[in-house]
Amino acid sequence: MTEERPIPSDPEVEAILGPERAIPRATDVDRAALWGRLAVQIPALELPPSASSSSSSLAIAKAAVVKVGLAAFVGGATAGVAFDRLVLREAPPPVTAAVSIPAPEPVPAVVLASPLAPTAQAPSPPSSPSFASPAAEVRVAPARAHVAAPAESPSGAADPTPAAAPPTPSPPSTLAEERELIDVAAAALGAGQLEAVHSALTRHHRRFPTGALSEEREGLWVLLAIASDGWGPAVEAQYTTFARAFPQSPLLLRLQAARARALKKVPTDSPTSPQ
Amino acid sequence: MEEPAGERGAEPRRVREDLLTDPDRRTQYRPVEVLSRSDRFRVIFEEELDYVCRSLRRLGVRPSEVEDVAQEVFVRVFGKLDTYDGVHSLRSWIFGFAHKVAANHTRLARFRHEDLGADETAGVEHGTPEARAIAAEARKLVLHCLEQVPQPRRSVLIMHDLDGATASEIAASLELPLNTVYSRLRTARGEFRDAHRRLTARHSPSEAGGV
Repeated sequence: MTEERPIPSDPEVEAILGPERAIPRATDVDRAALWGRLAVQIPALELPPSASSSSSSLAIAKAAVVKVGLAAFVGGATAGVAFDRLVLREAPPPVTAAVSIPAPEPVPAVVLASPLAPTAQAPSPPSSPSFASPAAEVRVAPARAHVAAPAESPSGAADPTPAAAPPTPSPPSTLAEERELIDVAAAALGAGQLEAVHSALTRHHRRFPTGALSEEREGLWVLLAIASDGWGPAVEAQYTTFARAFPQSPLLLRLQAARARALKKVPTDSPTSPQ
Repeated sequence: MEEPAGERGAEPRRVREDLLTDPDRRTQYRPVEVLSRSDRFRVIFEEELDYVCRSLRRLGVRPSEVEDVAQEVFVRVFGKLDTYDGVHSLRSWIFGFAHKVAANHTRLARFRHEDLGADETAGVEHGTPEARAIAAEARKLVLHCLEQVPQPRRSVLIMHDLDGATASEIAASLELPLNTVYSRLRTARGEFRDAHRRLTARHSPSEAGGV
């Protein structure tokens, strides 16, 4: 067996690598959101600590909001059907266990439902129904990178952006804000503005890692991934995660359709001009 | 840091002392054997997320995809957590997953196109905007040079010359014979140097990203 021997360093390589070594950290990844996604994918994990603080409102919110807000979000015909089923199964099915960790008591649902109900139906953005098309078009947008750029503290579990996040958001405004972000993302996706989608979803991720509309957010992430890169392993993983977490989501139908279309396009791999 | 007083099953793993106090990690690991599986994973996630993301970028994963690919890496890490023996450094072990996941990810043609316009300022936090821009450009150049090193060898170069892994750690992590590690490192360094010369000769550093 070969014995290990020290390897001399290469000064030239060392010098070239200097800038990369000087990077103290390299992530603008939202760790709370990522942990949340892992927790969805790995039922043994718990939701992030940042989520637990808001988790009481979370469970509630899910039950309350989703029925209302999501009809507007999905817009399409399939939508309204299952969103009232979706959520926070009080008796958690195996896959979604991690999602439904927080307080299963449905008691306060009323509190959140009432402020939300009036606003939820009204402002559905005009462009929201066009979800399926961008996913199928497989655009390769030069987007991203800059999108996730805003400074953040990855160490902090809760890192509200100074302008957007009040320190202690009250539940009603939280839900409204959530909806707004999701609406913006949905509308932008419909319009093919992938950077805007990314931006809105990232903001939602940061502010509401386990928010009431996280199902919609996760669905939009998958659609965004398909729209920007087509169907690949990463998208497949996202899709699987989503399907496990929200097996009854009406978005699954759209995702499956988008998947079928995207997979059909894979062999040719010829970029279809969006214009 | 609090020390949970749990104990795990039969035989506690032996963990090298220096692995628990690696200064590069800025925090001390609690001995892994006293934590539950999910707690261990939690610690690893907290401590190593940045490392994983950084490694994925070095392995050619585009910035916008790093988060998704990192998720896949951590899913695998969790799945294999019980197989970590503590003999080699945790980072080397994790890198093995990053290496495989990134290889799968970048293998697809659509992912091969590297994001040359990517913003590499993410980890550059200090200094004036100008200094940050310069540092970001320099980093971009390094990443471009790394891209020029074919993947089987790039990982060895990254692990040894950037992460400071030993040859045996690299061999264990990438499942290579020790001699292969030496030869790949030697070749990779040459390729890396050549790439740097080519890129710097062709472009000024400020233009290197705009190819």
